[in-house]
Amino acid sequence: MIIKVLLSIWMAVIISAAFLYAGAAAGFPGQTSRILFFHVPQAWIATLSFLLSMIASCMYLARRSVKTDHLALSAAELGLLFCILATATGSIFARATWGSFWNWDPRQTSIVILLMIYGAYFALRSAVPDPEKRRVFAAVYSILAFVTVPFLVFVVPRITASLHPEDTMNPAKPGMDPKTLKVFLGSLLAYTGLFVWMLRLKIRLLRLEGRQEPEFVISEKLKQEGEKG
Amino acid sequence: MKEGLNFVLGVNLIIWFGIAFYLFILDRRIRKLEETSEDMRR
Repeated sequence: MIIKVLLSIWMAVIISAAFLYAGAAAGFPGQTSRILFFHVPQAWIATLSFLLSMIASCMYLARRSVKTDHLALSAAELGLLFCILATATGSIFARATWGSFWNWDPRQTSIVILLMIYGAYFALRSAVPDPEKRRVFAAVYSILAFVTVPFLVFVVPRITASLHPEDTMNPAKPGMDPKTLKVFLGSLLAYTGLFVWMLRLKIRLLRLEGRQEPEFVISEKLKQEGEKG
Repeated sequence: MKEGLNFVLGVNLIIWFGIAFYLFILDRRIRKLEETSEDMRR
């Protein structure tokens, strides 16, 4: 509980620092560069979620534990959510800097393909009625879907000419203002904390839903009868 | 420009506290459901 309260305060501090402490980066119109503190952590969380979903899927195929399937599904769901948020915030930045919300820039195109790939993951899950088959198919699909992530997120936008800013906004490259870097790293931490909180909530919710499924009720009854017998 | 920035900051903080409040409520509801489910199993 205390960690959640601290996270809430930390996120409020980061939001305030993003507007009051860090300065606007040179070379960007007005205050648009401040989107860095929200857009990049969202994209980072999306990538982290898809990676986590792939790892959990591998674990599911190895162990066939429902818990790992819950983790894979929750991570994929949050990955899609943060990917949509990153696309929306990116579009707002595009409107302010490039003139329109959508330009079919390589970065925007690759993110749309990624959204479609992970959208299909949920379509696949809802199309298979048998829970066991659904989990296996989803796990295999999640692994295959993640193969495209490094290409679509890191490779494709860099091998083609893109309007997406890299040098000023990329903390791995020198030139980022120390104040900006501090707030940016703080924002990454805050978003990661938020992701962990949301992930745990989703997993607990799936576990509760799972307890109502017929296969769980039957196995519980069999256990109880076994204990009595 | 500074006034505009303060407005955006205010909106951001309101949205964030709204999300945090929703997550806290959700957390409590899930905990209650978990407790009820645990009682039923017993």
